[in-house]
Amino acid sequence: MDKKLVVSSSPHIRTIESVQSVMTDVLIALFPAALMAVLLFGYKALLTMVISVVTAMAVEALWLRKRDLFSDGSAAVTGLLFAMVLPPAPPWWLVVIGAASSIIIGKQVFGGIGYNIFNPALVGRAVVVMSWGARMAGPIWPQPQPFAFTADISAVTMATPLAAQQEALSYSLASMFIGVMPGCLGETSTLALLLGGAWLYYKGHIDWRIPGGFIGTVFIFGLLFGGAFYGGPFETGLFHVLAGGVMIGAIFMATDMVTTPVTANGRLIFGIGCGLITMLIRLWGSMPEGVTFAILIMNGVTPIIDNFTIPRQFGGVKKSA
Amino acid sequence: MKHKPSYWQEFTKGILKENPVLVALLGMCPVLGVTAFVVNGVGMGLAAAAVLIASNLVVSLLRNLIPPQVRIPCFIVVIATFVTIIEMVLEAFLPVLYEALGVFVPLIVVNCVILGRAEAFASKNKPLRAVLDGVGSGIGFTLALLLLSLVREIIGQGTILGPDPETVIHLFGADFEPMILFAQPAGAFIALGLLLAVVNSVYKRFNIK
Amino acid sequence: MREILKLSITLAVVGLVSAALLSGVNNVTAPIIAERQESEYREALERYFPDFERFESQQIDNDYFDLIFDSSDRLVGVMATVGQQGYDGTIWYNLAFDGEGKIVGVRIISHTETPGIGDIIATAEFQEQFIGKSFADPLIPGEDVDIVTGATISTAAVITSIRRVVNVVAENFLGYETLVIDLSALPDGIYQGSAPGMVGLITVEVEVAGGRITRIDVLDHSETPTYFIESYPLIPELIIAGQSFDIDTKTGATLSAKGIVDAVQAALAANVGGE
Repeated sequence: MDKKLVVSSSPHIRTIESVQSVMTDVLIALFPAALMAVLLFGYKALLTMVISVVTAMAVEALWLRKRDLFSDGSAAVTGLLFAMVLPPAPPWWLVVIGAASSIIIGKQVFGGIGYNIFNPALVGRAVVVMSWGARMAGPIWPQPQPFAFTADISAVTMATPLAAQQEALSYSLASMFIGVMPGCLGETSTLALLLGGAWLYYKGHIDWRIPGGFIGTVFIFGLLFGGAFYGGPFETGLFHVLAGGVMIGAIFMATDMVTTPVTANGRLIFGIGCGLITMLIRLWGSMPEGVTFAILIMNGVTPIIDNFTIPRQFGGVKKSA
Repeated sequence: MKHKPSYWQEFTKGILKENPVLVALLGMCPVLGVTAFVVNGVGMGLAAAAVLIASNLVVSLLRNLIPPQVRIPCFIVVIATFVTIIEMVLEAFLPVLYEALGVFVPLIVVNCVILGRAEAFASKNKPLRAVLDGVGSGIGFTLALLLLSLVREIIGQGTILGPDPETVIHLFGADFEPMILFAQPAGAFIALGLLLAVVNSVYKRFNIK
Repeated sequence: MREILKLSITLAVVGLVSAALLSGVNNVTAPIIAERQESEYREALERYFPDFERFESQQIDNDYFDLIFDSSDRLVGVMATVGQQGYDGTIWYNLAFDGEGKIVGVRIISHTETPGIGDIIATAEFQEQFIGKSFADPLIPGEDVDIVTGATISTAAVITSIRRVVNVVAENFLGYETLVIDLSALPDGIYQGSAPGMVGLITVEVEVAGGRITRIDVLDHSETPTYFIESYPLIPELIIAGQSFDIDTKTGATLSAKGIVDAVQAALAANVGGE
């Protein structure tokens, strides 16, 4: 009886990856950016991140009636990503409501992890942007104070480089690359985000097509239509890549496995679409920054993209021969 | 012959079991459009209820006189007449409400709750039943608007009985920063979705079907 | 045949009854409505113009003006009714001027600006800053009036519109002439001037040679870069090409574009006045 053939239905080959291992890798990848945020914006940035992560985990545990706070780690990732796209020192209640909205409206109402249509962290951000616009846009951004952990960063505030031209010209491309400019607490340092992105790519969690398409489109648009105000067309293209949320959006938000296309071509289309909408909003829209809504809009059309980019099946028989 | 429901059932079905907004999801345009303030939401609900009751009565009375081929145009004319009367009366006597409701008053004409009740119920039933159905559905519609506008005004504005400065009550003091999302059209969809989720779970618990 | 006749007669009867009913109700409500609107407007007039006796209506372009006279037929003020494109839809408002062209009242009639953001224009705090201002004041954001952070578009639109109406009233009803720039009378040279754009002052340098504008450079501005590229260098090119300030300013960047035109006019006007 030992040689009995066991028949089971697919899947037959399972990956050793689990939700928990992927989420742990994302948390590791976010570490450089989080560290950079604390170095640049001090204890208030750390506080914002802690409040957001704890709220997200607590709301998820309450919703699912689970004792295990960390669980599969996805709530912690959502909470940390949400904090990354907030101003460095928002009021605590804004962080709490936003993180709770991320989990509830962004994820759980759709049926929990794997079923959400929109990126949860960005849903949270959209909720707070729409609700407290005056705290999320305009000249509210603290000047970074490197290595001053206890500094009161909200004493001096200004607009982001994207909002006003003089602001833009006072930051060199190098300082923008390192992250010494006003902005959301996790989005300023391209260097730290690239480090995290490299880790995710090495572990095979992200596909180059989405960030490549996204960043490439932003660069080309900035080069062609940016008005060359930042030194020259080439520099203006780079400026648009480094300023604002393009890097964090391209590397961490637009690569979310659940809310983006599964096909290779679909991912390229998705990335290009994100870049296109971002630049349309930046150059011709009424807001200085458009990454959030670009990704959310592309999340919405993801099923259509998937539908049109299904790879051709080989070995089939022609239907009407 | 099927057993006829009692008058009491005709009256209550529109409030809970067949609530036009919370169960049938009809007439969404005013539901989402005017519920930023309780006063406007209830005003819209009552205006639509008045049209609904009146049109149900008239349609039921005329049900044997109107040839079936032209019944829909006749219903629309009846409804449009009552809507225009309501509009003129509002503008004359309740100008504040009239301005707040704006284009949504004339749009009651195409509110599918009203045409739906006229076509599906009033045109097949006797006047008393039709009126009871209209009153029930009208109350159900108004209740749903009241619920939604309560949620939206309290969260989205931090007030109640606004926006008239003479009656408005600021619930959370002057420093409160309301969640403006809920005062905006996008927030209306989110609030409605959350409200429907709560209503569905309540219905499930009390086994209302 | 009988069938069609029956259908038509049914429809006609329903329509007729409906029409009769409506005209009846209208007869009752129409005078009440008219009276109420009239009395609201009159109330506003009496509040702003205590000497109010009668008024005459006039329309200039798309703005409506009521000239207010007192009992001895003296012009004591002007009430303007103006529509201005805001962030979302048209903002309709009344602007009351006294006999010297000073603003005595701002009254928003209707608007659809974003609740909690743009609707700040309907608050007394925002409106009070205009009281007492006249055509002699610059009405420039950041100088004598303030735009509100977060509601830049709504508030800047109202300020720009008020600045325009103030000048229309001064020119047309109060006998104050504004400068007409005669390019051919201008001596050759390089002139500088400033005017408010959407965010702050726009400063331009204008070169005039042989009675023609030959060059316009923007020296300084604080407009949003993404808006500003729509107006610059396009607007100066249009001015030079047409040798005229009558530019069809672009939507989207209207305020920046208009700021450039105004700044060029200011640069030249200063010199015409010095002749």
